[in-house]
This record gives sequence, C-alpha cells and structure tokens, in this order.
Amino acid sequence: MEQKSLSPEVIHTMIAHLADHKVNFRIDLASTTHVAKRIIQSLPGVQELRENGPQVEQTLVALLQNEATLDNDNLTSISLHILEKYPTERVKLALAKPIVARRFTGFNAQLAAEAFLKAAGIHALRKDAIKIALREARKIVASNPPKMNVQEKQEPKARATFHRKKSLILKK
Amino acid sequence: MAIYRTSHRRSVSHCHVRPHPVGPCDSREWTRAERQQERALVASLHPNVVEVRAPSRKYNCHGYAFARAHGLFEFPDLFIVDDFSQVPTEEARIGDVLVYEDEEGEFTHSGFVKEVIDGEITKLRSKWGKVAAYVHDPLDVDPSFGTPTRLLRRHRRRRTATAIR
Repeated sequence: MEQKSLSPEVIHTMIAHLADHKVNFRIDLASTTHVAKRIIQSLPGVQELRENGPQVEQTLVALLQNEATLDNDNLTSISLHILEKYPTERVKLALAKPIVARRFTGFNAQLAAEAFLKAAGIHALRKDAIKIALREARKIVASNPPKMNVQEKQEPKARATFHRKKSLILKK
Repeated sequence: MAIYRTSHRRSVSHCHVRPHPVGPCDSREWTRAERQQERALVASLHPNVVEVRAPSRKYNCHGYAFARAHGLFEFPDLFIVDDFSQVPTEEARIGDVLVYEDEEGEFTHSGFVKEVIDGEITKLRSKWGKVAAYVHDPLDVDPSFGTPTRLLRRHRRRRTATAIR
C-alpha cells in the first residue's frame, strides 16, 4: 500500500522532535555505528521519514547545509540515516563537500560515507567506506568548483578595463 | 595512531578522540555539563544501574572489555578469536567477558562478569557507548544491544593483547 506523503509542516515537526536530545540521546548508548543505526531506526518517526519521499530528502539536504545542524551530532546522525534511504544525485552532491571538508566526525563519518557511496552507486566494504567516500567526494568537488557570485564575476572584467585604459595612455 | 595487537600479533583497527579524528571517533571529549546531562538521561531510563566510570567518548564497550579502555573498537572479532575461549554460561566466573549479538549476528555489546550467583550471571560491568561504564543486570540494557549470546574467558598462558606506541 502506498504511503500518504507527509506535508512539509509535519516533516518539520517530526524532525524538530527528533532534534530534541531527550528523544535522540539513546544514540550515545551505541558502541558501534551498527548499533547507532539500530537505535536511530527505533526512534519515533524515523521509519516513516525513510519511506515518505522527495520532500523529506529535500528538507534534510537543506538541514545538513546548516552549520548548526552539523554541530548537533545526533541530529546529523538521524538525518544521514534517513538520507541513506534516498540515494539521489542531490544527496550525493550535498554530502560531497562536507565529506571533503571532514565536517562529519564520530559515527557520522561512517554514516555520511555510506549514504554518499550509495547515492553515487559505489559499492564498498563497510570498513573501507570512509576512505573510499573521501576519495570519490574529492573528485566531485574538484569537478564542481563553487559557483562565483555576480560581484566576483564582474570584478576581473573591471580590472581588465582599467589595465587597458592604462596601456592606451602609455602608448600616447 | 598506536597499533593494538592480539596475542597472535594481529593488528586490530581502532581510533582515538582527537581534533582531526579517524572515523568513527569524535573530535572532542564531553564537557562537564554534557557529562551531567548524559548521566541524568541514562538514570531516567535505567534507574538501577550504578556508574563505575565517568561518561567518555574515548573508548567503547569493546575497547573496555578487550583492550583495557584503550580506544574505540568497532570490530572485536580478532580479540575473540585470538585471546579468548568460549565457555558455557553456567560456568561463568568473575572477570569473564559476556558478548551480546543481534539477530544479524553482529557483536553489539560486551562487558565483564561482575557477579555470579548459583551459576547465573547477575551483574555485569560494561561501558555503554559514549556514556559511562555501569554495573548492571545483564538484561537491563538498551534493546539495541541485542541479547547475551556467548561467554568468553581470556587465555592465561598466551601473551595478552598489547598496545605498541
């Protein structure tokens, strides 16, 4: 039976609940990444969010762009575990940069690596996932340099104009 | 990073808390306030456990049970094969290691036998993830820890596992 899509408001409410340390602190009881995943899976709403659809993926990708989210280890773990269920191009690109910047530590290094590799369609042994994800993410970041904003794009042009004027003056 | 070897000289991968850690270790230890918060939350769910070591991200249950709290070990398999023998649970002694597994056969938790009454393990001493080490009833743990499946006894005659710096 197809599950009814959750509204953005409901998704945000569920994520806000999961962000509460009183709700997610059981993740700190995990000794290994495998156990952390088991705990995350048992938290209220996680299974539903893993099965709901692109709206959840979009919300969590946006959430992981926020530095405050990355500072909350357990919320990041939950987000990565849910995103592992959405192996899309958007997830691959969103995780590449923070993986290269080594923004994920603790269990999140492993969870991010596994979610990224699945989105990239790369199979790796669990023990090698972090190393391989770093290597592959570097390739993506290198081939997608950060886009320049309008001001940055115009600056070199303005400088060229200035140099040309100067050279014209020298010719005189 | 230090190398930790089993009694058969096999290296067991692990990591340590440091500013730029190797995964899956954290980049810093808990603050005092965070420790207190973790204690309070554990107490709310497991009021009968007794803390014996403070909350720490520096080592996990496997590091505590197999490697003298040396670091965080994700896969204790080599220790189990090289340094221990399995013994029947009804022959449990203080200091033996009880290992937990889940339905997939993954090692999920481990701890030292602390008390045995009439052949039954009644108390365990184990480190719970990134929080404290506790003395507790073997079944008074988070459900994610799975179930106790095998009792291990460390070999006496062989050279024990060592850290090489």
